[in-house]
Amino acid sequence: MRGGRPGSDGVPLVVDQLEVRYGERTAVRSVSFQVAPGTIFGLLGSNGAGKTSTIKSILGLVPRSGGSIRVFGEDPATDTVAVRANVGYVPESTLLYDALTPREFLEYVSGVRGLATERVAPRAAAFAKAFRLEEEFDTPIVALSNGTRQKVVVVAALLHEPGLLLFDEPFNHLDPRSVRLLKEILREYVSGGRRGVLFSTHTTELAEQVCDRVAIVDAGRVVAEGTLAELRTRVSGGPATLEQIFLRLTDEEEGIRGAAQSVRSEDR
Amino acid sequence: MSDPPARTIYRAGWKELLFQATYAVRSGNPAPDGDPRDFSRKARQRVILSQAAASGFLALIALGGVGLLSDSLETLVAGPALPRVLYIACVLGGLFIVQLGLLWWLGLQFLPTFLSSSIVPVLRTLPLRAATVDRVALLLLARLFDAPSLTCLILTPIAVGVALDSPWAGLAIVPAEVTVVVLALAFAVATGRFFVKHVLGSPGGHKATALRWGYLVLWGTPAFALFGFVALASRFLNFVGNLSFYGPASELGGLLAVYPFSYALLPAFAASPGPTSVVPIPGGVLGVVGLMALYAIPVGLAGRWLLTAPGKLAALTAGGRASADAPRTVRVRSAPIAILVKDLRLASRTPAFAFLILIPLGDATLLGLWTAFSPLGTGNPTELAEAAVASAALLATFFGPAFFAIEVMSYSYARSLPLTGRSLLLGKTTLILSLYSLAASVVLLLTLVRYFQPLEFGAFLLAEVPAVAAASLFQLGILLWVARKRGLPLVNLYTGAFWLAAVSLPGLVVAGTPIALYAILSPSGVGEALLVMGTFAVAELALIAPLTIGRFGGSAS
Repeated sequence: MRGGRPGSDGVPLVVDQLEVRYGERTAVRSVSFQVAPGTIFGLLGSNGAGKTSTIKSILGLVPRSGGSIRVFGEDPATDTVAVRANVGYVPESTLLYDALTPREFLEYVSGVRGLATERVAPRAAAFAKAFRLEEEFDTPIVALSNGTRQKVVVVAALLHEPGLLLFDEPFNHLDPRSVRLLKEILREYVSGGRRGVLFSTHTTELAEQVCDRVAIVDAGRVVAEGTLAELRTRVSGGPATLEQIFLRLTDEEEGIRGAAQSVRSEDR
Repeated sequence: MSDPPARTIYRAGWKELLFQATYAVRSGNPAPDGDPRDFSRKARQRVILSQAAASGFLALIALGGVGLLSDSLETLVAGPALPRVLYIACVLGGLFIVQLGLLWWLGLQFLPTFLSSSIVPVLRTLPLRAATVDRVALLLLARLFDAPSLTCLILTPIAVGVALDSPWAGLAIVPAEVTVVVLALAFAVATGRFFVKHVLGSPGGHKATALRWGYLVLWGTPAFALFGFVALASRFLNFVGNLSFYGPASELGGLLAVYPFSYALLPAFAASPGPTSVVPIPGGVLGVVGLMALYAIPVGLAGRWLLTAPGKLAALTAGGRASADAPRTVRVRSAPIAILVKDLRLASRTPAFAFLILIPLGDATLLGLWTAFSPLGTGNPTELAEAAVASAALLATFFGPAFFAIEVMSYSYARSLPLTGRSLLLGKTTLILSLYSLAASVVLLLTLVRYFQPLEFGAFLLAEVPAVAAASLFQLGILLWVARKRGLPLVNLYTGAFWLAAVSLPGLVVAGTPIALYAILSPSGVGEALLVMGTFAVAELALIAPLTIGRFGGSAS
């Protein structure tokens, strides 16, 4: 499944008025955005802003309480298997099958996805080489470092060349070389103009470097969305970094100064 | 600054352990739905329920064992030849072995939860003394063990005292029960250490896989010995009877001096006042007490080792490196086979699941060997072989649901895959059918060595195949239904004991009904009975397969 499916509308992801609730608590409120073909879209927000809940609801892992989601025109609530088949997912925490080796894990994932050995084997070998996983390819995951686990789950998400990548904090634990490599891979991935990437992060520098468009999420709502240039027009005070834009739009700039002063060390 | 008391830290750790034992969030399960304030209470209830189920089983074993001490059963089991004091010692010795094996096995079931909860590694990062952390680890592990251990420590002495009409006998058994609990805990921790170091971290590759399964078979030996002991108890009693009658006394004395019979002699003496000359141990009661004092040294050392061992175990990390023969390519299989292979690979590095595979196979091998090489004169070999095949079918289906638990070990990630219920059901059912077929074939091959009736044995084995498949599908269907309705992660046999029993029993009925029909009808004609058995089994499969696959064939989550 390279890019969209035949007959689909060709748009990797459309989220409209999404709501997610956990009991009494509302984690996501009326969130709307679209990942256009050939773009990398970033969800930027603080911890607990609702980024992970949004991504999980796109996969059908968390039931939505309202709104709609379409992945290449298909609804994850009703076409769950089809949507998951066309998505590559990197979860926020890399809890894998600890008792399997990376090779065994990739064999399992590829089997469930119904891929062919001829297609998977050379890609797996290429990714293992690119991410320098070869030495650990037959070591049980339980014995791997967090960074290596993250690389394994990234490879598993890319192996079947899905139309949409859902990456939840994908740069967690990665070393600088792997961070750079993954950025290059993501850019290359969408260059064909049909596939899309949605990735969440709380690191403004990463969002600034990688994303074509960014949605700033705060307390379950999208407070602003656009390219970096468009977002700059939303704040006053001249040219700003994405961090400054984020803090101003979420009304945190003043609060941070106050918070830092409140925990100032006595030892000065 | 001194540490806070270990008990204070332990209380917080215990709360977390209950949560992880029930919801396994650290093992990859998704966070449960519902009000977070209820999680702790629900987790406590689930663990209490599972502890009650495990303790109830141990209580049944204890009462069953003690029930054998009645005069009428003694005559039935051992005949009049065996002196009563020896009979009591043999029965109680057997009971200790069974209790030790079950407690040890239970320990292996909940050790993964203890390890994956990561409570001890977190404590190690805090400014606490190592001794405090070790004590907390011991308290946590002991707490997981408490209900089953107390069942052995309290119920068995009371039951023995009542059965033998001797409070002294009940008291005399207490040291033996304490020893059972200490040894079981020590074996569980020691085997846990071994597994973390040599099995969990074992790399890929054919040689490493063969070695891993070799270790697992060795590990399973005590559990099979337990089955063997139960199966061969009557012959063992005859052997002891002959030894006491014909001698040599030194051999009998040597046998009785071995653990656990030496411990069983004290309550036997207490219940059977009179000459102790039938027990050829120098010094009589004093000699037995001396032996127990001797054994108390290694048991005491094991207890001392246990003070720090759980803490050290929790800090161990697996560190396997790839072996040279590991294949470097990725080989993809169809979805059901990928699930089957993944289950076998997980089981090969997870003792709790490995046992589920090895128990039907080990049981089948033991029963097959017994049928092939025991001095049966008048016994009906067909019945024995068929009973062994039936036992393989029932064991495979009884333990089958646990393989669903393997699937949910990393549920949060597995749920993100396009996994269909159809693939899941087919994969798990193939595994259970493979287990049954392998176990039943072992029995039949061994039996054919002695009684060459390939057609009848083969027909019996094949007639049961659809029933095993139907039972497996039925159980997995119930599990999928429960998982969807309640979001229930069936973490392991220990914390999921209630649901696993609730699912296994209907499965046993499905697998057992054709066998029961055969048993009823075979006296009036084996051919007709086989036909009815096979037809009924096919009908079960024809009814259950479309229902289950139709209902749960779509997305698995």
